[in-house]
Formats: sequence, structure tokens, C-alpha cells
Amino acid sequence: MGKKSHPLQNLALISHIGILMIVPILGGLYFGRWLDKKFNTEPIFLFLFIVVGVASSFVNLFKVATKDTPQRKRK
Amino acid sequence: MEGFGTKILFEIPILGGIPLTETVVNTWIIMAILTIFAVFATRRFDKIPRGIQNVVEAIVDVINKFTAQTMGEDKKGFSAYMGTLFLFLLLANLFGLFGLRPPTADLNTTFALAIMTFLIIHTNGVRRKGAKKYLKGFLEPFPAMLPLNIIGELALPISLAFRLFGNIIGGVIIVGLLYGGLASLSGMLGITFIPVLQAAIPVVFHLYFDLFAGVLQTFIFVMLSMVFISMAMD
Repeated sequence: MGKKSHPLQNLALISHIGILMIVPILGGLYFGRWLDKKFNTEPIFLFLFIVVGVASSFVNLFKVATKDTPQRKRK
Repeated sequence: MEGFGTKILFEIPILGGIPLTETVVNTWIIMAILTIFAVFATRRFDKIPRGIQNVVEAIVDVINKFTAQTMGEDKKGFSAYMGTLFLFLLLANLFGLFGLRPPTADLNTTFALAIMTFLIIHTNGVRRKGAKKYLKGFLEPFPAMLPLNIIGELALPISLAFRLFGNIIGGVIIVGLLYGGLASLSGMLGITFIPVLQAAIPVVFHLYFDLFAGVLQTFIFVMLSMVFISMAMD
């Protein structure tokens, strides 16, 4: 880890960040709506999965952004 | 007016008729082109390259070097997959230039490619790290992150597929609308015998949507596949 990556590689990753953040949120929205329809619990699962989707998209963003920084040893 | 979905060209009359869309037929054409190129360009190799052998060697060399540079020397073996992906996507995205429908303007094609990349990412993650360490990776940094990590991993093939599909179908729709609009405009002006307007004006749009966006999206798809595979293996 900690190696410098190619500029073109970083450009590709930057252009990927936008869609990578949208997909979990929309996925959470549709999955939550589907579960709500199935169990008749509108809108509990919808909100729950949108929140999970937002959190997940931030985790993704964090992973892509810190790809090149050396990880400190845990444990 | 008909939509921009894939048309069914004909049906194979077995099992109650299997419909074949434009996408499938155009994919076959690309497969044929690539296969014929592979067979005939590599027929006779000399020690000192001559003619088409120079082209073949240049392509292979560029892909090998690029893979080694992006993924690291130890993952050079992926250059075969990356090269296949690159050549197929390049031809597929440039198909709009020949007046045919690009196969990548169909979500089925892009999803198939994205799922291939997804499977390669995870099988190689397991192979490189071992099953225990791989599964433990989903619990990091702490176990409550498990659903977030799973959703994050599932988002990757979906975003890869939709990005490529969206870019190409956007070009197909805009260029299609432009041709329709120019045809009706020249009808209004009374020039119906020669398609004057359709001959010159769409060139700019073809340049941008087919050539520029097509090559760029090909490159980005291959690049992201490389980056995420090497990320899963490090």
C-alpha cells in the first residue's frame, strides 16, 4: 500500500464516485419499498434502507478516497 | 413513432420461438470480426515483425504494459481478460458509427460484463486472501458495518453497468432524434430527393457521442475493473 497510482486511474475513479454514491441510495429506496409492500409496513423499511444506503455510499466514498493512503496497523 | 428499445430481428423456431434482438446479432458480428482478426493476423509470425504482425504486437504490448502498470507486476496475468474486455467494448461502442445499434446500448450486455468483473473481483479476493480473511474483511472496521459493506460491494457492478449503458444509450437516443428531426426539416424545406441535411450535421454528434464517449467509457470500464480487482487482492 501507499504506492502512487497513475493519473488516468485517478481520473477514472473520480468519474466513478458520483454514480457509486447514487446507486446504494436508490438501491436502498427500491429494496425498502419492496419490503414495505411485502409486509404492509409503510414507510418503516423505506426510511431504514434509505439511511442504510446513504451510510453505505459514504463508506464506499471513504474506501475509494483512502485507497492510496497507507493503512495504520490495527490490532 | 417507435421507441429506442432493441428490435427483435427474427426468431429461432425451436422451443416455441427464441427471439433474437439486434443486440445479440450485433454481438455475433463483433465476435466474428474479432475471431477472424485473431485467426488471420496471427497466422504466420516471423522473428522480425512485418505488416499486420506489427499491429498485433503493438496491441498486445500496450495492454500488457498498461495492466502491469495499473495492477502491479504480480497481477499481469489479468491482461488477457482486460484485453478481451477492451477490444470487445471498443468495437461495441464504435458500432454506432456504422449505423448499427451498439450492443452496449442494451442493459443485458453491460450487466453481463459487470457481473463478470464482479465475480473475478470476489473469486480472486478469496483466492489471494483465503476464505477466512476475505470474510473478515466484511466485518471491518467493526462488525456493525456488515450490511453497509455488502451493499457497497453490490453497488459496484450496478454502477459499472448503468454508467456504460447510460452513456451509450444517451448517444443512441440523441443521434436517433437528430436524424428524425433533420429528416422532417428537410421535408419541410422541400429537399426530399437527396438527404443533404442528414449528411453533414450529425457528424459532430457522432464524433462526440460515438467516438469520444465510446472510447472514454471503454477505457473507464477497463480501468475500473483493473482498479477494483487489484484493490480486492491487495
